[in-house]
Amino acid sequence: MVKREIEEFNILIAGVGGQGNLLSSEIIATAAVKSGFKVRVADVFGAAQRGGSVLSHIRIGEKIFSPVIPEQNANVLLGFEPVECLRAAKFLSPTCVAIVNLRPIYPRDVALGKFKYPSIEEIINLLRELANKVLSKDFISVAEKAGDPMTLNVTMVGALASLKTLPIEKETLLEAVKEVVPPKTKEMNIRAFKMGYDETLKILKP
Amino acid sequence: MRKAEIIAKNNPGEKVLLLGNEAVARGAIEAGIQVATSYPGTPASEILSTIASVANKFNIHAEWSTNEMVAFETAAGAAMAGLRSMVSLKHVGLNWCADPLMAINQSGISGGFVIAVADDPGAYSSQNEQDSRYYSKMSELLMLEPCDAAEAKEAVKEAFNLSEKLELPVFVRLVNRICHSRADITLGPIKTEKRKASFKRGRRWVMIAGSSPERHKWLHQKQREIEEVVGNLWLNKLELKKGELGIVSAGVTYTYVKDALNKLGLDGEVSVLKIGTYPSPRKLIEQLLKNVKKVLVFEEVEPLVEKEIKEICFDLGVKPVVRGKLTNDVQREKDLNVDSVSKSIVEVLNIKHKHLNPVRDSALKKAQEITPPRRLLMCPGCPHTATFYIIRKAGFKAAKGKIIYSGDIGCYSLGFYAFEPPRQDTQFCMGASIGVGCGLAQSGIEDVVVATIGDSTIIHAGIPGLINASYNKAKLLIVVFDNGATAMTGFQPHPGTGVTATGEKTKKVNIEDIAKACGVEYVKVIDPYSVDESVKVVTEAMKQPGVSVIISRRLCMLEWLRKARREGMKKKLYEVDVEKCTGCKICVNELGCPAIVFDQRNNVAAIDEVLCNGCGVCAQVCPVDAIHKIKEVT
Ligand code: SF4
Ligand code: SF4
Repeated sequence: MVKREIEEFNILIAGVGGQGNLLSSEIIATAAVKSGFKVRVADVFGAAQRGGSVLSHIRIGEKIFSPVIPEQNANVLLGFEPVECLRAAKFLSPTCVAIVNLRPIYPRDVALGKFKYPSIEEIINLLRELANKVLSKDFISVAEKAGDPMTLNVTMVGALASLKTLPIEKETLLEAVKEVVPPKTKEMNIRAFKMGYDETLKILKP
Repeated sequence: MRKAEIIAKNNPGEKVLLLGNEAVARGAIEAGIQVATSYPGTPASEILSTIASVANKFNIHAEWSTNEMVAFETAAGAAMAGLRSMVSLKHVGLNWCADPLMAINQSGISGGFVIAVADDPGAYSSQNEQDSRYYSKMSELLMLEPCDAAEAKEAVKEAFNLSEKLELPVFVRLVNRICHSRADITLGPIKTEKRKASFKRGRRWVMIAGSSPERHKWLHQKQREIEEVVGNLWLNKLELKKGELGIVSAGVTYTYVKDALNKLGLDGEVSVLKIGTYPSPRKLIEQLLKNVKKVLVFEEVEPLVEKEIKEICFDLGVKPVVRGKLTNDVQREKDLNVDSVSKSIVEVLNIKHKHLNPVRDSALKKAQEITPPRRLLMCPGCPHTATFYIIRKAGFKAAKGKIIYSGDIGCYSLGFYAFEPPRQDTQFCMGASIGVGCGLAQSGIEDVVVATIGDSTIIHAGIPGLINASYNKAKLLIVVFDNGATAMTGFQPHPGTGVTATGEKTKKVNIEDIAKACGVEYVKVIDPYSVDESVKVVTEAMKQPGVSVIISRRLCMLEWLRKARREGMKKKLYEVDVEKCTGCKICVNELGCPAIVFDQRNNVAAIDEVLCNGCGVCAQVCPVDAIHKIKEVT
């Protein structure tokens, strides 16, 4: 393994319990370890395993200590759910690239009519003000094409792989996908990874 | 299974990604642990489940004990027989161990005994944020406090060595941010040779009246050895720089301080004392005090070290300014992080805040304003949701709806967040539903008092309360939410499941039998998915003159889904017939399954097809039969 040096690179995953965020953070971090980096990851969630907001902080580099990304320091935001991206807004650096799945999961209070869910347009506009670039798409439909909406998490890892600034190679991420996902779902997840990658490239270079 | 393979690798030098709790487990395995015990509790649970996953391979006895006290005593007993043993638990679990701890600290131990305790600053999954270092102080035992997951593995190994050297139990204090963080961990060699157990009789093991003063003296003599250990241990480290400020950072806060100083560009100016033990390293503190004018102290939860530094200043007759939680320079409650630590440093040094860009400021404010909250919920189709509905309905029949829900710790605690008004009126600690319920009932209050408690929790902490209720004739209804798992903490087995931590079949403890043996005459089992029948039984139970026990039994929905996937069973999907629906909202508000939403515009309920798990309870509660099964899916 070649030892690579990089000072700091921070990836934040924002989603809802049950979307498989933790598996994505494990895949990315496993790939980072394979790449020879120092890695720290924090999965931050409340008491319930389902339904609440979940943030995964992934930090890579020689200069990092704490597993939680300091505010305004995320280089990439992987947003699994639109309003969860807003909830994570304070972490975005002005140079951040945000990859956002546009399919909402409505909070209970919205479903009951107690709170309003902001329009997608409003969400994206705000993210554009806070980040450098926003790549958005209904990634659930991509995951569905790969075979199961539950592969959203790996689809998003594929999307991440398309970023030039990422210090981890695409092949290493794919290797980590194969290692981390349950063996039975391997083929489908490889498909999801590739489709996430291709679809994001299309947004980048239409 | 993949994780078990990684944990079992005997390939020293390899770097792997591990969860903090897995790193702790690996540390114990590398150290040659032979007995591991625990009771599930976030954020500590994965320590034992990880050890259990490789227990057979390494010939380790790993168990989920009935509760933390039993876990503690079991691990201690094994160490008295000369083995290396570890109990892992969450901070409030340690409260259960206070009794044995305060006797075994005087006996000491002959093998290596490590107590891995996970604190929960910010109380993300607990009833309080409690500082375990007080137990170290009270029991006069050494506590190691690693700063991250990588250090945690080494600290556990060190704790075993020190425990044997000192002949004392040694704590390792973890926090949520270490337990549930992942890091690149370098594997070490695994000690595979096993010790043969032997118990050496002696007066030290008999803490009978008359024994203590002598043993207490022995423990006090040990304090000198502890001080020496602490003074030289690698977990403590002083980094002296030329500036006037010195930062003292205990445990995980060291990582926050290093990041903050780096971000603020103050790396080269501020001295840092990293503290990784309790008691803290007095010599190093003295050295720091001699070199700086101002000291800023970071530690999770309580200002223990901060107070001690003030004492040391007094002893030395020096007067540096000591700032921290006591002076409101460091956030007092909630967990610290890089940002809160940066803020404290900036303020104490009087540096100007780098001002944010105002456009960005307003965008952030806007983002905050328009983000709707996301409450914690029960899972769709959760049997607990049905049980709560049944209790409520029976309450109307038996007591005009006047119910006090005396709550407990487990998934059903979410009855507080999931319903309006909440269906948990009190919640304190494991088992309190029954004890507090007894008191509420004995007060003569008019309301029906219903203690709601889970299967694992009643076995852990409910039985003395149950006996008390029957012995002292409390008019109390105890509803056991029996979903066949310790679901809240990750589906660990318990004595009621008939399976051990390593997956072996064992004696299954039956909750009905326990209730009857405790003297309860009215004991009934209901199926929460059969609503009307269950309401009848619970109504009858509420009318009993004394204590009654209802066991509401249905497998946890998440467990059922897993089983269904394994066995190829189909799940049903339900739909609301918009023609029939009158918009009464009973399914939305009174049942409260999160898969059911309400379409305000058309004034009808709707079921989210992705979320529905097909329990069929909503179809039973709808008064006009508007909800039907539409199909079955895999
Ligand atoms: S059947 Fe009804 S109560 Fe059960 S999960 Fe589906 S929507 Fe919820
Ligand atoms: S309970 Fe039945 S009638 Fe009432 S809102 Fe629900 S579906 Fe409609």
